[in-house]
Amino acid sequence: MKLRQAMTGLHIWGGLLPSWLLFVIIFTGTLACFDKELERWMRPALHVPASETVMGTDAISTWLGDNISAPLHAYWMHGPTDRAPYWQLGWEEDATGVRGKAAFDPANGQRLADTLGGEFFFTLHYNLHAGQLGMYIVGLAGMFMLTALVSGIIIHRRIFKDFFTLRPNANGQRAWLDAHNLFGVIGLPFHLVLAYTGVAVFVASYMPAGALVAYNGDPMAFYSEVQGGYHRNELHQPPGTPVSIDGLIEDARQHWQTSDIGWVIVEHPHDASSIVSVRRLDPSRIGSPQDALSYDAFTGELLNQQQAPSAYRAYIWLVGLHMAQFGGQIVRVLYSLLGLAGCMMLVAGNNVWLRKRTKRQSPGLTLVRALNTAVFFGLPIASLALLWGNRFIPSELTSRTTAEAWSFAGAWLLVTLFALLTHRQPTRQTRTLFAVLGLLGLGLPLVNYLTTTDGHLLATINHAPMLAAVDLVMLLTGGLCSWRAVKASSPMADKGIAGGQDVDQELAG
Amino acid sequence: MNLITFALACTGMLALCLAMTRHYRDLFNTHPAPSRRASLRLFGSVLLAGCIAGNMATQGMAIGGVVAIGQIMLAGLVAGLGLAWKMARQPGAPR
Repeated sequence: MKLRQAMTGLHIWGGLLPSWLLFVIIFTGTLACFDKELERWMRPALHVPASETVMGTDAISTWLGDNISAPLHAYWMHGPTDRAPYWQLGWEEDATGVRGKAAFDPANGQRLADTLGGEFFFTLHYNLHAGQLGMYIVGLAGMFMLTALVSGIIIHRRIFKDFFTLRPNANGQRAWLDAHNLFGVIGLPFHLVLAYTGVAVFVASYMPAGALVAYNGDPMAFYSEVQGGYHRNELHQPPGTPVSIDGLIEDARQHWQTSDIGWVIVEHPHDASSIVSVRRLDPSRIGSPQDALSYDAFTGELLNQQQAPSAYRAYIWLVGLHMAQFGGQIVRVLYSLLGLAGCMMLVAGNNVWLRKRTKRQSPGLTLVRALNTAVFFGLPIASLALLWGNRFIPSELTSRTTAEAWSFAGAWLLVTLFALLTHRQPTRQTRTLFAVLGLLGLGLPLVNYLTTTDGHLLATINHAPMLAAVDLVMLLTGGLCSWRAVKASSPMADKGIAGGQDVDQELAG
Repeated sequence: MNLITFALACTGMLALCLAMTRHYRDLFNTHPAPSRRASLRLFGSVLLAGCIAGNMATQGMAIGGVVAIGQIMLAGLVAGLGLAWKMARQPGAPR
């Protein structure tokens, strides 16, 4: 029994302390399943039915040459796909390392208005928008999650007997514990695999010592060898006349006998050593194919085809399993619903902690309650506020992404402030926040209808089902939260918080 | 096909759930005979195997496997939550 006792302490505190951070990570990961759909939703110019693509990589290279004067270390481009029907461009400046990005309408080559897009949630998911430091914090939280999962299995005495057990009529603590177990145990394979593969994505950064020693402190040499890729050092000689990149892509298509091309990367375009790498897009398997073709940017000669060692392919398989870019929408729908189960596991777990200590008036109750409200309500409300901001901030504003980020951060700060001010009336607080969520959710399709001509539900339901799905999920979320707000004062209030919270997070779609 | 396999998963998980005495009693108010429990367990396992086989046949071993496991987990949640929802609607039932 000693092991179980030790694991209980670990599970309680190792679970509670990172739980709010984990909620942010899991919830944004859930939203990031549909990052491309959200990104398209946030770019009204792309709501029209897809038309003929007139733009190619050469036009983008020209745009880059005309608009960015600093020498570039590299730039990368991705063509329109079904899920993301626009050209994406990113670049990194050589001297400063500053990165930029732009998106283009493939029908007319116009640059699209800036938006944080669905990528905002993706970045929040893996580094909290805090760069390298954030990546380490997320990694640490992921390791805590693994610890909590394993210790949770050890301390669960009736893991099979209580597999399906949820007794909503039991007292508060019992019901929440049932819910915590139900969402945790049934979703366990998903939680374990996603926590493990999530930590594995940046494993080389979490444990860099071996590679640094073996490669004389040069991480790039390590990555290059491990990926079996091709790299040419800069010659510091003036560049020649670049060949058409569209031509190289056509050559790559011939080579692979496929039309699906992924990222196209141009390395140091202002140097004689410049290479163009073309990657293949293949969502029909879990790990993306690692057979990039590298061409000389000035002669068009095929220099190398990537030969990834099996260890790297195994790593890419793990990453692919985490990223859910394979197998179509069914995989992403399943991942997002199971991600919501993960969120519910955290919410229920924190409520067990609270219920157990409410009678004893342990210290920290007010803090945990305030954090619960501020995070479990704050993040969904802030995410909805970001989508509202996207429709209301004028597209010609120069610092549009900053304004969008403020609508997200501002909404979250407001919820936090509200949580602090009303912490003495928890029932009213919950009710009000559900009402806010309900209004934001129900209002969004309406705002969408009023502000876009082709993007509203009536138009998209025919030609862009995934855009319509975003609106429909908003309506569903809003409807259920409003219903919860009305019902929250009934005797079933405890259970209501559980049911409704589950629904908040369905804005994932 | 996804809907069919998900229906298989849901039915299978519900059968496995009802193969447990407590949940059987919750739903039918009688104690299940051991033979009934065994047959429910067998029925559930066969349906889950069908879900896995169906997914693997249409989407390949790897992706089909991932989809099948995801569907089964979700089906388990549906069964558990559905039963709880049913119970919450029966006030006064002994817990």
